[in-house]
Amino acid sequence: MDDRHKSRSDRARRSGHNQRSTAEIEALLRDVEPADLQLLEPPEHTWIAIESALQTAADERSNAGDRSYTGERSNIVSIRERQRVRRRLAVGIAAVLVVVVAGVAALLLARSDSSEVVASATLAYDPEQFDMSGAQARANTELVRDSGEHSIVFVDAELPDPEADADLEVWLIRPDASGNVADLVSLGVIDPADPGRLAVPAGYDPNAYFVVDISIEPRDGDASHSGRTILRGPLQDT
Amino acid sequence: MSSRSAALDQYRITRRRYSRVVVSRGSEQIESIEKAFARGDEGALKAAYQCYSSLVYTFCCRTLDESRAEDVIQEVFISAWKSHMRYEPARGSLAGWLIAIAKNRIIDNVRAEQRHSLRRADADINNVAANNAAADNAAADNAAADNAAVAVDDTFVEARVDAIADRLLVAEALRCLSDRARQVVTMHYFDDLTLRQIAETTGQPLGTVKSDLRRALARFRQQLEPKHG
Repeated sequence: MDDRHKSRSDRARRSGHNQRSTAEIEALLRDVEPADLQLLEPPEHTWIAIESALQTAADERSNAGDRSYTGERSNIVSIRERQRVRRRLAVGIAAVLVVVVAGVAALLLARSDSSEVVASATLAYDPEQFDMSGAQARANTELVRDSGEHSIVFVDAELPDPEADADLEVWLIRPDASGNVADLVSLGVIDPADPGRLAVPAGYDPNAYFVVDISIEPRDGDASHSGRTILRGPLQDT
Repeated sequence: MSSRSAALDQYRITRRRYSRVVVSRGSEQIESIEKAFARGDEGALKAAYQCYSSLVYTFCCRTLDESRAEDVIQEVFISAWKSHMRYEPARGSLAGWLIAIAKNRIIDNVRAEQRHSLRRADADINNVAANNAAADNAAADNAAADNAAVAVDDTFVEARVDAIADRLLVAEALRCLSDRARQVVTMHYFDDLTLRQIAETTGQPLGTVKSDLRRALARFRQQLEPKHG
């Protein structure tokens, strides 16, 4: 059995404080085989299974929490339940009114067939986080609602030309409550000299997806965000 | 737009944090993914999966059959995410931590299969013994011999799994090096060129080649030594 086939306990005893010597690391480097450099992609359903398992676990914890809460406070449930029903009724009526008002407003808006600027975003460069190509870039965008559909319109912009075999791509990001990226959606690729207007895809509410991001995307067939953001900024009500 | 306005203040406070979690293919984002994973940030598990699933899956496939490899990679990421608070980036790479979890699962799987095989063998022996009492002693001897063989196999399996894990982690660390440092490492260890020959071939000063190699070895050491309990 050669050196790399010794057991973990053997190696731990030998190294004492569990750190490899340079000679051991060099031996490992010389042992690397071509197969070690070829990685296999897991099947697509693997990630779905992981997400599903974690969601199920979270749901079970949540359900268990609800049951214990009800059980511990069984004496006061009836009063609180009545209050809750009244509150729900009031909220329901209010919601119906909001829907009716919104519907009438949407109808009027659609009839008038006019577009409306509902928010704007000044996109800024962050030298600590973003790709260096965005250092001199700047852009102002508006969120325009037209016949019930939203678009991001570039009002003015000075954008860098990406390297060969790369494009500038615009995204809308939905941050979670902690400010982390919960989700993002691509609006499309833009011409740096004339970024123009990009439609917000149906089903993506700009109230939730309210951070505009521009990134450099290599043409490598990978549709996910490259991480090479050059400009970013939140939409704010006008 | 009221809900957006409400979220805006939070965004202003934390925009630096979330910009680090955006999925990246570049090695410069690895540190950010590790920190986000340790904090349990939303999106960090997916970022870690996109970064390391092929590494973990390759490890599983090199040691288990395809069906069990798929089970184990799921177990690894679920288990890692559930105990993300135990991961400390300062104490080792996320790749090393995930591989360490995978190693334990793989060894458990292999041992379980071995025990299963042994039970099947014992059952066969007992059937023979029931028919022939005189064979009892021989059966007991055979079972003892099988147990000893499994104990030896355990050590061998562990060593073999360890060796594959080490080589995959070295290969992973290689991917994270700068192009220049990776070139020095591959020329020196794969092509067996001396440092002077590398300096002459690449046109880099000998001192630069040496310092690239020293930094690369430090990176390999960090990758290989996750110091988590």
